[in-house]
Amino acid sequence: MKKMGWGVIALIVLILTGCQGTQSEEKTLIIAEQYGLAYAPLAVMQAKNFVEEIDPDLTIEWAKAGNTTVIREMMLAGKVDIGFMGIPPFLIARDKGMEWEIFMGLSQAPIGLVSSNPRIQSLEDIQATDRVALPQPGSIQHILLAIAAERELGDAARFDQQLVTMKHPDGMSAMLAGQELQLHFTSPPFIFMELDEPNTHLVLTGTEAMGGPFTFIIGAAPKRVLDEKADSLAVLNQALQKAMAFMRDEPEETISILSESYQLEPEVLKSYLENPELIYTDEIEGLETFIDFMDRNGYLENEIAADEVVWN
Amino acid sequence: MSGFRFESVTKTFGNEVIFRDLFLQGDPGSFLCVVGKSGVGKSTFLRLLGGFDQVESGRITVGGEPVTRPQKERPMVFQSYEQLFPWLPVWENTAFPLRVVGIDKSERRIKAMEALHAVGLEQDAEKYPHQLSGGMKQRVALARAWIAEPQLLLMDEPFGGLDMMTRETLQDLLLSLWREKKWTVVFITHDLREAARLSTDLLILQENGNWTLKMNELSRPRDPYSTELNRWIQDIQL
Amino acid sequence: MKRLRIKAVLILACCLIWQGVYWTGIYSSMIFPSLGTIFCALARDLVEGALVEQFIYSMRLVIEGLLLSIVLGLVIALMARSFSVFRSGIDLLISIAHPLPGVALLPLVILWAGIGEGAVLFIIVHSVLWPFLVSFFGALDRLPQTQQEVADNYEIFGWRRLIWVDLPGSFPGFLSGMKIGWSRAWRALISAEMIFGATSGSGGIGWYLFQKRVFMDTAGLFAGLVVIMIIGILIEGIFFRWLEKRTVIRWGMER
Repeated sequence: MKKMGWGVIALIVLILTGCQGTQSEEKTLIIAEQYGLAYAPLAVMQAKNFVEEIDPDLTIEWAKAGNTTVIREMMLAGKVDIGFMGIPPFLIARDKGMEWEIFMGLSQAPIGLVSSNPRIQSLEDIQATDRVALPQPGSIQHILLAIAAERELGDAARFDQQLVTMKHPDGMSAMLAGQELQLHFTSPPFIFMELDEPNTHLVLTGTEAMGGPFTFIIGAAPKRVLDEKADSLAVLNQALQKAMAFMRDEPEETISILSESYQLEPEVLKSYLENPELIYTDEIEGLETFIDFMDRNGYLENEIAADEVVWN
Repeated sequence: MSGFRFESVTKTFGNEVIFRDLFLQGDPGSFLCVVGKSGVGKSTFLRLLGGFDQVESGRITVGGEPVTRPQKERPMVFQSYEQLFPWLPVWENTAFPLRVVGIDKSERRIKAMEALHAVGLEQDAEKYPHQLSGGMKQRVALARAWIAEPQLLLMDEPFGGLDMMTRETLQDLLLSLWREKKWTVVFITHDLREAARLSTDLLILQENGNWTLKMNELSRPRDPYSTELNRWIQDIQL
Repeated sequence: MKRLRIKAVLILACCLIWQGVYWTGIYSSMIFPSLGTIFCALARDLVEGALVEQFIYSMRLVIEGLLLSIVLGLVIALMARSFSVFRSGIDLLISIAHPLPGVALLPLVILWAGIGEGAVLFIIVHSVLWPFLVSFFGALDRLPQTQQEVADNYEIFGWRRLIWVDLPGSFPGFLSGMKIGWSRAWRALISAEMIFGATSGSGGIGWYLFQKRVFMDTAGLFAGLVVIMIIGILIEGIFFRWLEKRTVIRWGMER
């Protein structure tokens, strides 16, 4: 009798593992989930199930990740298939030998350097003791600051030792606390919220720093995914474009979807979304400028050609 | 050198009476031994005299002054080896009472060596307590009490944990120092023979708060095994 | 000596295993660099980079934090022994504050102490003070009664009593509190540096590690870890051992 029991258990285990086997043949894409207005098409796509509409067999799994660095590490470890991030963090990974490529743009956004100190009106006014909060060194915020520093002060690395790493919400709290932190390079919606406060002003916008428009967030994928899941990527691209169109055509519903997940009042959210500089498009702009600058100033060690890093 | 007095002192512990209406006069230069069964309250007696504990009724005076708290003029030599500070070398342990009152290092050292010489330990001055034998540790404690220039020397079964030979050597040492410095000593012991050897007076603490005083007029030097001494001991009712 | 030899052999074995794994190529060299690459990164950052400065900077902050904690600890101990109300209050404070990781208090820290060295020191002191007090108070509570009575007898009280008698008497507990404090301080410092960045000059080792991470310089990251390991070994194996020899071992107070 005992042997029968063990036999049954073994059979069940085999069946279950067999089931696992079939499951892995289904199509999945694991995407790192991120918060912020710049990633809005992802939220809309998820809420409206656009992926399912286009390809019912493709399942999207969402992985929670704290910040760009973690997303890169998860992509490195194969735990995540797609990461959305700024161009500089992508380039740094690429520079270190990761065979990743950009498969689409996601958004352009009005990011910039906010100050709560009237003394600081331009980069020149920033002293060695002033600290600048931004998400991390090597982020798009850092690189834009460095680009502006190179142009206006002749020294790209000028502020590199004055950075304080803070997530956007923490940076905003610190700024508004009115103590030591008086400079925050941030993005929507935080930049809007900070500028709504009485004693804040913009020192520098991203567009000023770049000398033109630039893509804020792009979508990147490792070679493995680009080779094996090319058609799924195409579906994702389509679904996101559908989301972007939806956001243009159905603003009311968009606002009700996003207001819930972003915990913002619909009125407030509406004013943010209507900002002309917040653009959702899969076009990629400013790539060469970033590559050129980072290469010139030692943020990249190797040569990278712009067309090599864009997929298709 | 001071005398001490207990006037109508009663001390209880919970429901038990340790001693009731104790009347006792210790003359300057006397050597009082306190004996009694285990747990009868001998240590309590000494602690009261030293100011480590408070009386419930009655009065205790030393040199005419009431006792309220411990003072360096009434140094206590404990039975426990923990009475020496392990982080100080022997001479610093000895000189501790002087350090507290602000005597500077060089003078402390001279006095410490004097005290250590008196107890026969000057060659171990730099050692640490953990390097000493039990007997040596008690000598250091004695040297420390010596240096404090006591009005009253209190000793709580100081030789209790030592072997017979060491005990007798230390008893001889104590007696010679006592004679020389004319100390007033109050000494607790459970060893009647020791009490017979050392004491000028004997306080016997008994059950239910009873107590008895007995004089010791045996002639010195006292042979601990003489018949005279044995007879004196036999008389004692614990 | 034998223990040292065993440790050396173990370290060598680890190095061989590491290099072996690298050669099999199971992991990409991006996440598992060779010992050679790590060593080169270390050498490069020591010579060309600011690693030496960063090391000194971190050590300075840790030592400052530790000293500050010890002084605070002594003052608190003195007050706690003199006033029982204070002691109860402090016990309560310890039980609340001890379980909170310093980095979790970040928003509060930024509000109270800003974002400079002051904030980092705050985090260090918070990480050290509570476990140190627990250890120190524990030792003070266990002081032999006889020793305390001797101190009463020779009439030494207050501040002098604490420094001349209670502190040496509780030194084993004090020392183990310090050891725990050191490792807590070091960890707190590194995490704090990662967040606060270069609070002065080129920052410290935490900042070094963080930059290696965001710029995906894995070899440099491991190099930084190697430096941290070496520091740990030096402090614990050499400094604390030396301190022990001169105090608790010399006094026969080892437990």
